[in-house]
Amino acid sequence: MQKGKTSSVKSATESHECRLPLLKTCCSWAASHTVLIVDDEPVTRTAMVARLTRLGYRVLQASDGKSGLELLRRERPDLTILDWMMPELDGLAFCDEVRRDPNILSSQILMMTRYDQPEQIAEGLARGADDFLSKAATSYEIIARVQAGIRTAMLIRRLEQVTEQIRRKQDLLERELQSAARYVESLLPAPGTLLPGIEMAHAYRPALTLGGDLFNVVRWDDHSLGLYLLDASGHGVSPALRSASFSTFLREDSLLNQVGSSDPGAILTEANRQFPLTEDGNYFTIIFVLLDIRSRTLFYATAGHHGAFLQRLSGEIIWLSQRSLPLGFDPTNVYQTAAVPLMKGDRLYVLSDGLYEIPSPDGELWGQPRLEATMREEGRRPVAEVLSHTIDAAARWHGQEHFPDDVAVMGIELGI
Amino acid sequence: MSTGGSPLSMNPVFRLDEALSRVDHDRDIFITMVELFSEHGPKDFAVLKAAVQAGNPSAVAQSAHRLKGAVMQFCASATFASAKKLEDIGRAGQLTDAESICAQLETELADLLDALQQARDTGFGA
Amino acid sequence: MADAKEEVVSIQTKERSVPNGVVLELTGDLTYANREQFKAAVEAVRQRGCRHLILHMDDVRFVDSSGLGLLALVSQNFKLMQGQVSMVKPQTYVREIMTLANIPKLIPVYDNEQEALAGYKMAA
Repeated sequence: MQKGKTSSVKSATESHECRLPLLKTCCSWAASHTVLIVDDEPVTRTAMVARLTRLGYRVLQASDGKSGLELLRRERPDLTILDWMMPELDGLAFCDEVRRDPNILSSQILMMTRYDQPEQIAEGLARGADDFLSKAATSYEIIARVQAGIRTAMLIRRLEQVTEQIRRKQDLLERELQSAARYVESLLPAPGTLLPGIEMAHAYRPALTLGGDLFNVVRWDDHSLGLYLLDASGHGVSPALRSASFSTFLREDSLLNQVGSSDPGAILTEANRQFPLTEDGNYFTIIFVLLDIRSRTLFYATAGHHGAFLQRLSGEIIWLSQRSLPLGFDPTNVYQTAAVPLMKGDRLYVLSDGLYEIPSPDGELWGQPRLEATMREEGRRPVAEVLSHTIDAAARWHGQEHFPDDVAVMGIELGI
Repeated sequence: MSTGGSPLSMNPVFRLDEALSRVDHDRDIFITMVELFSEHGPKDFAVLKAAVQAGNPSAVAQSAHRLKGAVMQFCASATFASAKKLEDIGRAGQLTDAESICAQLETELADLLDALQQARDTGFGA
Repeated sequence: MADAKEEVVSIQTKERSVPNGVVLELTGDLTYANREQFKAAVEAVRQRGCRHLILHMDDVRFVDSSGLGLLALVSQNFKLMQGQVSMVKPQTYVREIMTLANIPKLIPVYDNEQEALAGYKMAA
């Protein structure tokens, strides 16, 4: 800005007259918007600055491309009016710089040029000008184009604001989900010694931030141990909530109160009564196991769960399987308890169907036969290793690191 | 085309009413513009003349464009036409007639500056 | 529980009357995404007092765990009115999934409509 010239511009803003009432330029609207004028030629620039100031806009000016860019970055005007031809950084190069910079690339740029050169216009558009203005244009046209440019700038700003709001809300949601997921994982049992001679390892991989699979241990007394793996059907946050609620029912004190026994069949029969199908048809599948050390017997009952087996020291695999209905399918159903004698060195594996029903890229399920083959290969490696290798094998079958469904696995070494 | 001073309202070197209406009759701004032009116009012309003498077409086009832009604000058609011609031939790379047009422009520019000063001194007929 | 893939396949339903019942021909996927359509179609049939609903599954190529739950739900609702739901010609893959969840215990599965009608008559 040249010395001594500010006074004339200032007086225009102070007097603030709307000189063109025909266009009904609203001065208060203009006052909330900033226009940047970049032109090295002082006479033209002065005329343009004065005109826009008179209309009530807040006007910034720069006499070359470089300082114009700095001003643009600092002040973020609603509209930039730019001369085509300037030394060093000309109008087109200015546009290049703007469109290259993610912070300012959505700026509105009005390029000053002659209209009778379509190649210029095409090139200007290609390099990033939004609209064109002739230096010989009438006041009306200048005002109209400036207004149009500012309207577009406002639309773009609003869009950017809304996008930012959405992004922030999503971040918040994601953080809350992670917090909920940490709570759910805190419900899981600690690995290690459950009773003398009984060691447990486990792994848990929810498909999304929050999962519907849950497993836990019920310490009945010094010589009997309950454990379960449950799976809630459905999508989103709902399965996790329902699982958490069901796991409350499955606590030792609650079971003693409501079922009156540690018998797996009785427990599932009562659970079946208390947890019917939801109105969307959602339900639980579950296996409940009772390890009775004194009688060296494993008791179990299943409701639609097919992923548990006993592996003998010899390598023989005994599936803990029953023809059973998922919980809630038939409210009058009575669940039967089955029994398997325990032998020294037995290992109990309980897996969610998210693992053994995992599909290959072609859609073929991994399935129990392949799971068995993998278990046999693993042999007597430590349980924790067996679990992680099995998960890796399933992931290789699936072809991706990320599982589509929750995966929960428990391995218990019975050194009794 | 007559040169030199004449009664303001009939000065043909530049059209005062038109030029004033371009700035919505803001006389303060117009004075500022005249002062700026009086300072920069001759300098810009010197650059143009040097470019013509050096036979540099792009420099001719650039400096002629700059001068033309300023002149346009004062609605001085003859001066504008000469500056535009120089810009056009500079762009086309054909500087054959550049010197003669430049000489004509020199005269027209001097006349314009005089006329603007005169108009200013007499207060733009206010 | 393996659930539906990302692509959206809807479900179409077509009603047909038969002696003592209604056949609902299903085409598409029986999944969580399509639950409302399926429920609405079944509900329309049930509300007219139909006692025997036959689900024609020939053109159902996929049932997810939610779909299984919906079938169980539908079966329960019909039993409440002393009605019955039967199923005809599920595709191999769908039949496997349903067997694992023991659905045939709730909804008998037949190879054709005649057998379904006969089966209902006998049970009634």
